[in-house]
Amino acid sequence: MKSLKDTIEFKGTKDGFIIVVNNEADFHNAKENLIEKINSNLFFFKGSQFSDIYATNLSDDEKNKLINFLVTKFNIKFLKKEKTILKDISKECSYTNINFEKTTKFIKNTIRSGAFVEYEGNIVVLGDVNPGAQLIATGNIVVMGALRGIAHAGSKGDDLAFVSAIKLNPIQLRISSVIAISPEDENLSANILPQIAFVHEGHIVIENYPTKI
Amino acid sequence: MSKVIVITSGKGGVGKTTSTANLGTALSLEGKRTIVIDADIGLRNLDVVMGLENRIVYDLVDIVEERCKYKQAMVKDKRFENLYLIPAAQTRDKDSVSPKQMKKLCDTLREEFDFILIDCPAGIENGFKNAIAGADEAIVVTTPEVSAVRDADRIIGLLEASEIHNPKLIINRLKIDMVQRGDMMNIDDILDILAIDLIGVVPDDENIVISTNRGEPAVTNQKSLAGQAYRNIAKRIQGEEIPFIDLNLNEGFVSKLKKLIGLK
Repeated sequence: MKSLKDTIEFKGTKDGFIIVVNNEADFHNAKENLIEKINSNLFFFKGSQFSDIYATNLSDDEKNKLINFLVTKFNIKFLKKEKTILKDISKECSYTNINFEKTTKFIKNTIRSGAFVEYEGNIVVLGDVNPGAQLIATGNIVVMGALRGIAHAGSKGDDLAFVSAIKLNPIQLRISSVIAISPEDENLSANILPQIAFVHEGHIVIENYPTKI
Repeated sequence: MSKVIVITSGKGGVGKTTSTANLGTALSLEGKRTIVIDADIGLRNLDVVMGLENRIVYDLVDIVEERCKYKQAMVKDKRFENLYLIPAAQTRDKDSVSPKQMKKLCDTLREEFDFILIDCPAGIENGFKNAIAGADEAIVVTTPEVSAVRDADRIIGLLEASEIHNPKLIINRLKIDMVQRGDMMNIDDILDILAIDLIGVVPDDENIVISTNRGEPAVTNQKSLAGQAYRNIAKRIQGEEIPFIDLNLNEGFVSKLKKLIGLK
């Protein structure tokens, strides 16, 4: 049995938080833990928006009770999405709801300064992308090497697109219409783990890859 | 088997002309029949650096426009038996020569020379395209500066697109003390980005300025560290194995520098 702290997890999506309840937890456990978690960060959750609740162990009735409880007690908005993209809750993480269905362009060499690759679909580079080079894909971008140039994934407005690289060190990252630049003060050369960038609540978030799947 | 080597960089002022003059001189000192061609039409410098400015009668544009035989435009160096120069025209521009004409000239010169070095102009326009047209190989010169490395990267991409593969890299004007303090890009940083073979590292050296102004290439000065570095590069161009020294050895600055350029 997992400790109580792991019973509840919050996942951010652009439509609001998703509450994920560990499938070993019962209703009582879940409710108690939920209160504890929200209370510990009341300022953060105040007026926030929730979109869904995942709990394989709880009945629909129990879920609705939880939702009603949250709405009344914490003044939290709850918008139930019509369709749930995430099927497998235990494997849910922020970038699993990506589109794998596009065609993919593979490039097997270093992309140097001045080079410009645009593709309707995903781009996979087996090599480095150097500063001054630019990759634009309507889908996802994966670099099996160092990404030091500019990458734009989901260029036609796909917020679910991601950019992943063995060494993610771009001058600028764009996903859909969101733009991010590397922090200047950070020593990026120290970063040796593969990373993945995706859009989370309107911002580009970078995580080490893989996260706990 | 003669080789046509273009010396290029993208960015200006990193030492293409100085490198061409020194490598040409070093190769001729080794007994190789060498000709250097200044492809920087309109901004010719190579003749000045080599101290041959006052001997120019005809130039590269005169050859391609058939106002002279190519042998008439070849300026023989006053000090070195095997060294010749074809100067650029100063009064014309880059469009005066076509890539096809350059290739034809290079192929003609192959019959007489072991090494044909082409001093490429800065930039990626017609001048660059002319300079690389007849080349078998390329040497890319960069300095340990982000902008120069960026341009070198672009140039390597363009060379590959023009079917000139495996260019070699010269890192010019490296200041070892600054690298040690972490104030300058080090060799590994540069190689990490450019990912091509290093053929030489030339330390920053005041002798280069002196010799350039006098029109006497630094390779003739046995005391010049940069001159020694160029002599080593010339040997590597001929296929000799001269090892590079690990910079991370814990020792004094001078001995490190000497090892770096191969004096030890």
